[in-house]
Amino acid sequence: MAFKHTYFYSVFWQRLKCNRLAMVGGWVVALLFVVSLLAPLLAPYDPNGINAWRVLEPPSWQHWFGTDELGRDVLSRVLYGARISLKVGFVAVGIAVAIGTVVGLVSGYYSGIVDAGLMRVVDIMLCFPAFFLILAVITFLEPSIWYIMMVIGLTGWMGVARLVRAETLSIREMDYIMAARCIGCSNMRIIFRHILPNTVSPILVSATLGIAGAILTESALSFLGIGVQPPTPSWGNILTSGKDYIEFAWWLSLFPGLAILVTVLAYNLLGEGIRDALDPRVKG
Amino acid sequence: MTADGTILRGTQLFKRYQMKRSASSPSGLLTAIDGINIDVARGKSLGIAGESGCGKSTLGKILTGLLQPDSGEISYLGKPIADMSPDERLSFRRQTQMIFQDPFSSLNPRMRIGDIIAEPLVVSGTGSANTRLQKVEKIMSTVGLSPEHYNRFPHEFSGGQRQRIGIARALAASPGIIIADEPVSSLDISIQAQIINLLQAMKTEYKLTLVIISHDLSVLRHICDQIVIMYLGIIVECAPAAELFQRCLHPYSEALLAAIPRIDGGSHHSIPILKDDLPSPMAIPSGCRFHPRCRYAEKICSTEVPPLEVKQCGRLAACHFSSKIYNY
Repeated sequence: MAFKHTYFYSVFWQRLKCNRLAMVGGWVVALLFVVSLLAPLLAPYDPNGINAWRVLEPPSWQHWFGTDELGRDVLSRVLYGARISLKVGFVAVGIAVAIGTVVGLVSGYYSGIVDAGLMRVVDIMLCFPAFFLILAVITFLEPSIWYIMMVIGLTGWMGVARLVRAETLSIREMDYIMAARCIGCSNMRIIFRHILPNTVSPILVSATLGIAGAILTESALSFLGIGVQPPTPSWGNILTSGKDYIEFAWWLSLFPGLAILVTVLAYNLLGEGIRDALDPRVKG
Repeated sequence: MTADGTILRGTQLFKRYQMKRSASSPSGLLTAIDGINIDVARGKSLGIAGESGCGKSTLGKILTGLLQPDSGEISYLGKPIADMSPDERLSFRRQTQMIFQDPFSSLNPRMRIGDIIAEPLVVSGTGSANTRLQKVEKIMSTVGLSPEHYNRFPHEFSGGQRQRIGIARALAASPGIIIADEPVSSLDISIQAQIINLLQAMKTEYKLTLVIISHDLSVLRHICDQIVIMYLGIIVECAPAAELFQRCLHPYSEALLAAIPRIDGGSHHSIPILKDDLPSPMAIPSGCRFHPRCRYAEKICSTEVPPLEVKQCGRLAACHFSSKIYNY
């Protein structure tokens, strides 16, 4: 009864720890979590506090990242922006993974006409340039972070669906699925109890990489003015306001841009590290 | 094949698979099972033997109801499965359990072995969590697993132990019939004996009917009452195990017996090992399907299909020259 530790996760963890870049990515992601949770404590100023006397000040000891055109502290705004990014990343990817996993499982398990139908839907969805689809949808809805998260999620599930389907197709042929049928397990039980736990690896990888994509999409939307609406700070809309002053107030564009770069890079490194750690063909 | 005491009966079973069409087989039809009648007697153990690709596993899966035959009928205790209500079919499903060849792919790698063994009980809603635990621990100790290993994962066990887990899972469903598809062929020789003895012991203890599928006649010899020899989707001979090893009525059985290695280095009647490979099940030879490889083959063999009929001493065989082989 003492042996509670699972072999799978301990090997996975060992291999991930050996991958230095992935660990850096992991630590940055962890740091971002802490930052967004503690933003109210860490931010030196109110992110929306206007100070007409300190407009467009370059970085200094009072304002590490300088101030914007309304005299707001850029550091505080970037810190609060991390919350938006994290929220968008996780909720959007959560939606995408939930839909993609169910579609992939059903498609792979039932095969035949169900599979053909669902995969054609996937093909059709993939035909749309996702970003323009999002743009089109968002313009019809009032700009809100919740809509953005939903739209990103609803247009991003196809990759997960394909991965999970492929995995399901191979797992379905295993003897333990046959054994489960023999015992009298229902299809639902076979899908969720026997197949789903064995598809965790590709889901985990695509979720991590998907978060990076969702954060980028949100930043782009906010940059174009149809994402998170000012005064709520998001890395995208800080960039937007920065572009008007880029000739003489570089700090307005640099710091939110760096934040996006570092975050996306961190998630990508972590995601690729997880993929390598889960793939037995790659030597860890 | 007795009429009374039959627990499971297959009548006129056919199963074909549509494969890619090619020059050698324009129809692209692969015949896995080509009109098989089989009776499984209650409380006995039936062995099904034959080369790889002769349709033994397909037959096993059809008998458990996991695979639908193209035509033909499976009946359990006299009742055809097709006529069963969904509830009856579910209980039939639970009554016939399978043991698989590969002990590595037959256990879900993400489940603890206790949960694997308990699953038949959970699915059928038997007992409370506590009584289930007790039952699982009892089964684990009967099959020779330590109940302390309840929380371990399959990869922590050796092949033989995993096969025991598979047997325990099948037993937990309290089945009437266990169909074991090559239960020992992926295990070491020393472990094979243990697993065969375990199956034998479980058969007595739980009053099971066993169907054992194997390419290895020496495995079946120890445990089976009756042995069925299959060749390219049909039954070529059916005999009580003891008699089959004395004398056979079909040249294919003869060749299979001759292929069993013997300690003294010789072989039965010094019969040559079969020449050539198994013909493709997509292009079955005319007449007796064994004739291209048969050392007794004459003209009639390539034109007329020998029926499976009663020959000497009430035994069944499908050969034009059974008497010749019998007296050999």
